[in-house]
Amino acid sequence: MLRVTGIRQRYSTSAVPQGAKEVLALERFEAAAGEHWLVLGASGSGKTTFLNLVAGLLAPSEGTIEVGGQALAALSGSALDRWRGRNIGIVPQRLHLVASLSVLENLLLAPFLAGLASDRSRALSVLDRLGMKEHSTSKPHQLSHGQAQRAAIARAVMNRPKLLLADEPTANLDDANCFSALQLLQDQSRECGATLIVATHDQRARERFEKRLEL
Amino acid sequence: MNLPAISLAYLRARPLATALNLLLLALGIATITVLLLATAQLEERMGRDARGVDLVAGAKGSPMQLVLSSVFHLDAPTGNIPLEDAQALSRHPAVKKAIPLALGDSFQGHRIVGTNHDYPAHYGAQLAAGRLWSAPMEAVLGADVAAGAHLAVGSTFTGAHGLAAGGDAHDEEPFKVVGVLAPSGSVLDRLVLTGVESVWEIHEHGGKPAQRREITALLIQYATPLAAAMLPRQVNASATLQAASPAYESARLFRMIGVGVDVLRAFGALLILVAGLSVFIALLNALEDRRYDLAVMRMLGASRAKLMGLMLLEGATLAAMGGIAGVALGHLFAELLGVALKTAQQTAVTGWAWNPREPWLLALAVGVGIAAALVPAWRAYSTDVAPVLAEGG
Repeated sequence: MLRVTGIRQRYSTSAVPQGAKEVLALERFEAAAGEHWLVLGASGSGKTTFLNLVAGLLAPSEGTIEVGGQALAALSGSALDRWRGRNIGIVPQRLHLVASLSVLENLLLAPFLAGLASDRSRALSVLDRLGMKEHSTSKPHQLSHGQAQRAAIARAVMNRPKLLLADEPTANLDDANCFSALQLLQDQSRECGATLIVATHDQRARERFEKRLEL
Repeated sequence: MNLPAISLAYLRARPLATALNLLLLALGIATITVLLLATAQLEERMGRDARGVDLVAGAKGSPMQLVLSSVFHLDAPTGNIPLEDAQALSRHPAVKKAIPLALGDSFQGHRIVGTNHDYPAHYGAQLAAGRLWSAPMEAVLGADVAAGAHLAVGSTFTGAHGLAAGGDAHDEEPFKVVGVLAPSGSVLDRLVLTGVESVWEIHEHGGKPAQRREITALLIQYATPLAAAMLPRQVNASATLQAASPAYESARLFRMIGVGVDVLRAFGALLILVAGLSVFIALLNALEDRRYDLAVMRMLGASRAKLMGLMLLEGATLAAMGGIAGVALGHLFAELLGVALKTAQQTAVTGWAWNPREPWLLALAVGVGIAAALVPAWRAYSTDVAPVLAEGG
């Protein structure tokens, strides 16, 4: 499902090439369809970079990434954007719901921007499953953090992605909420048959995942 | 969910900036719309009033005053001319048609014009009621006059001396209304028509000898195009007459008005430019607030081109709304202006007319909106997603 081979990611300051800083090096990583992975590492260990690489938001300096048989290097520009919209669901650390749209509209944004048919009933059923149905017309600023996170997870699974990525989903959460957030992600990825990758530095998450990658 | 819906949601999300930009743009477009309507209607109306009148012969003085007074009935006459000179000119072989006009009195600010039946016929006037005059002191009212004074066939009224309202009344010589003209959109709507003899009768209580009789002007149509080359010169050579060309004098008048119109037009253009700048600044500020949204949209699968389109659409939507509001506002202003001028007995302007150049105004507005959105759109296009997503939001 996901195969990562020999990737190196460097941020080079163009003025000083030898000052290039390697932020991520990963020889080999594979995840099968439907597996739940935890990517652990301290701040600055390249967790977010890893997610961005897998989502095709960044191109690796070296190495190859394949998702569902698709080599990301073969895609570029709008084809890559479209592929990402249809195959990858992302829950960013800061959630980034669109403030001027309602929760329901935020969900509908996902199929629209990925060039898929608008599916209102799917959006409502996803919200229902996450216990967010009564908030469908709320604006993001009216939501609590936990509700906003549910909305962001709902948006990420709207297009039934093959791969669900979550960046630090448990940051600033107490223990109870930490585990319920992880549970939600696992349930939702199971529901749409997606491979789940959660990147975190939160050691509490360890016990919830059998498969772990330490960066 | 579609791009226009997203654009509208963003415009609604900052109502103050949106309203301000709409207002600026609408005022600019409205200013230009009013100018467009007013000048076009004035030109059209004056063109209609002057159609078929090649030359005006009247007393010596300012040629523009002669044309304004006897063709458009806006100014005071230059004086009177002896009837026999006018008759001699009417019989000139280069003259196809000569319509006499005798001015001097008015009724409630409307001019009483002594003339013959050629005058209403020249403008293709139709009678709404009654008949044309056949005897002295019989009068036919223009449509506006009849409506304004609530007079109908059979009513009587007295004229006042002079062309402005409030002159001495000629109480002893009442007019009898024998006909009312249908609205024609020409100068006739504002006039009271009667025979030349009526005007003489009122002013010749002492009984001047017939050979000393006078009229005010002759509206002349040439028999041949060649007449234009020689007739004005011949008329001007005479001791009592001068000739003026309505086409030439109207063009001269519009050149003079033109300076004012140009100033107003520049003012309107300035408003539109300011509106464009304001839209530009608003979109650029919004872009700062929206970096995360744009990055998220890329994350969700939107291409760079789609985001660029979103910004352009937002500018264009705002500008189109401003443009439509501006054109509507312009028509409203023009109509208000028309109502104000109507009470002043001036040439009317109406907001209920469409000008063929108005679609260009809308295109101009949308163009300004798109131009203002170009730089923000380009910045949306070139935003790098990953670093923005990693930042705080």
